[in-house]
Amino acid sequence: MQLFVEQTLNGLQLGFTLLMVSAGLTLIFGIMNIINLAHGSLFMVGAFVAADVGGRTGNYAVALLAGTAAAAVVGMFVEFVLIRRLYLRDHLDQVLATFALVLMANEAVQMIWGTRPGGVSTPAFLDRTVTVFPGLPYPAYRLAIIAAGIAAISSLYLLVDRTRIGMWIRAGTTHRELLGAFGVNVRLLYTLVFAIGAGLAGFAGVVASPFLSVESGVGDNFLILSFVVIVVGGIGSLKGAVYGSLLLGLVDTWARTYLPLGFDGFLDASTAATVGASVASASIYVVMIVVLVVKPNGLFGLPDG
Amino acid sequence: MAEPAAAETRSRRSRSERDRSERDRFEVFGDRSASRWPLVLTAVVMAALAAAPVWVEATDRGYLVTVLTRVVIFGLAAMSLDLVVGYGGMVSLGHAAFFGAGAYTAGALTFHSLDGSALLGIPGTDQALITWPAAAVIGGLLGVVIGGLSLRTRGVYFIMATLAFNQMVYFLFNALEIYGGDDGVGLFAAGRSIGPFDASDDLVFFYVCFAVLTVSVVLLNLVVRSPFGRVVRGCRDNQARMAALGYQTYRYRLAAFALSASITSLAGAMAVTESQFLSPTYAEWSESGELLLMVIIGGLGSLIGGIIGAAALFLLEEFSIDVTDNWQFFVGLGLLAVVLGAPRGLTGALLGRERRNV
Repeated sequence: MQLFVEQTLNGLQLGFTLLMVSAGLTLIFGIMNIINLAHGSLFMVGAFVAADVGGRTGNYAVALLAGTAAAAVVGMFVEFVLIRRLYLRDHLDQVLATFALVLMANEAVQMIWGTRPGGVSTPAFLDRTVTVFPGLPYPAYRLAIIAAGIAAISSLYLLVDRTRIGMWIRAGTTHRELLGAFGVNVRLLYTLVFAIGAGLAGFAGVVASPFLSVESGVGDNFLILSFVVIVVGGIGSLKGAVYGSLLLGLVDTWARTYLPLGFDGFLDASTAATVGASVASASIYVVMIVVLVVKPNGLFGLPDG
Repeated sequence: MAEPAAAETRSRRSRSERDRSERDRFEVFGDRSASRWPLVLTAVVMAALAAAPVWVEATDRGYLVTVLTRVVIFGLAAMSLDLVVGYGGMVSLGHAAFFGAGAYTAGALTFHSLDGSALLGIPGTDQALITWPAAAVIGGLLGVVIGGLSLRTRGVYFIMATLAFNQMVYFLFNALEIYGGDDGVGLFAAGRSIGPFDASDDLVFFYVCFAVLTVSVVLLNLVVRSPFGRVVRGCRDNQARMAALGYQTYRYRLAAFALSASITSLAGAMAVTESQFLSPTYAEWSESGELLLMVIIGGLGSLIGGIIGAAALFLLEEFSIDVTDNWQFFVGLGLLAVVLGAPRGLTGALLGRERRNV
């Protein structure tokens, strides 16, 4: 039972990290109809800048702020210089241009920071454990990530659903020209949405970096996991991103814990660990396959949307 | 009464203009695909590639022969990706999965022949006449599975699904501890046996690969011009119309996808025989992006463009790696320039087609 609670919390923590990346990706896709492979690079920018600033100041809060802001600013710049030229292009051009950005970003971080992987350490006041369940001490930092994820997604939801800017954003998904005719600066709105998505990815990059080795290409796996989230949850749907991320976070973590134990019954220990680990690494893709077979448009996607 | 009729004519014309621009987007040669120029260009490029090793040997740069062999191998993979993307309109960002599958099929068979152990009851072999066709078969089967699932989706979903399957295959190879996990394993003790010949010599091996490429170039050019190829291109331009004409569009698209996967897998097997090193890097997602990049740089929907793109990329790497470690930064910059400035790639530039209006 303790193991189950612990792994469930780990799964939620992974799920919320994933959600912060995929929410921005799906928001950008839903509104601007653009597939952005460089979203993982913004995650990487957040992690690298935070590692640099954290290393200099030793202050986690400053590093977090710097990493998030840097990703948002880089995102804004990239939208302004490149992405806005791609809105009317087809998806193939978008894939290629943003893949070019990935290549450039992966090299650029090496040119700036070298190949030495840095890292952000856990802030001191969260570097302890909390007893969440009788007999189960749990790292406070991981709980803080879950809390931060809930806070970030709730504020995103409130922004999109309850504010005037959010109204414009929602209007922009379906009635772009009309929105412009009403005097809203649609270009600026798009830049803003892109910056929000980029900032969220950067934020996720900073909070996840104590568990990762911060190196070139560190965000790419999160990018691809986010695509799995979007295929499972349905494209352009914030709700789909929420359920998809949490589902995949939990499935992945549970599978990694319980599959090797499950194979233990009828295989010897080391084979069980190997087979279990390789099957577990495919578990989220199995979820994706099931969704593709049953509901090709995703759990919350519109039919043929 | 005259006015609505005129409006209808106008809209019909713009409709057909849009269809044409769609077709031009995906096929460099467009309406000229019936003309002889594409085949002339293909013949010129193949002749140049055949002569290239002789020339580099003659000018005392024999070390470039292995680079040329890689151009042939990756050009083969890029050309078969072009069948899917250029002629089929299916933007696959997961072809490294098939490249990796071919690499692991050939690599595993070779590994077990060195090891003397059996793979699922089958004895290993390093005989390319067995490992390469085996890779093509496995790749084709994997293409049916991945394509069959991914083709249930469209557009951006298809891109994301193929990329996700790519990553799944990559992680599976990473988990294969027997072949060194994520470090991979060297197969240097194996020879390059091709039938009764020993192709350990780099020059001999180049021409073996070149022969495979030549057969594939002929085969794929026949395929895209066949009735089957016309249906696949029809599905790209207007799937609903093809379905209304009674074609099972899903099956045609899947068949094209599987054929492409099979040839890409064959190229992966050739890459392992060439490098004599097996590792999951063959299946990395960035490899999928790079294959797509080669197709675009060369020119989409031209087949030969894949080979031109591979040559451009490898020669750029070869000559810029001395200048800077971060040459990929400039590859990215160049790709941006091509996407924004010359969407028809080098082939389009060579044949002087006007740029599409966006």
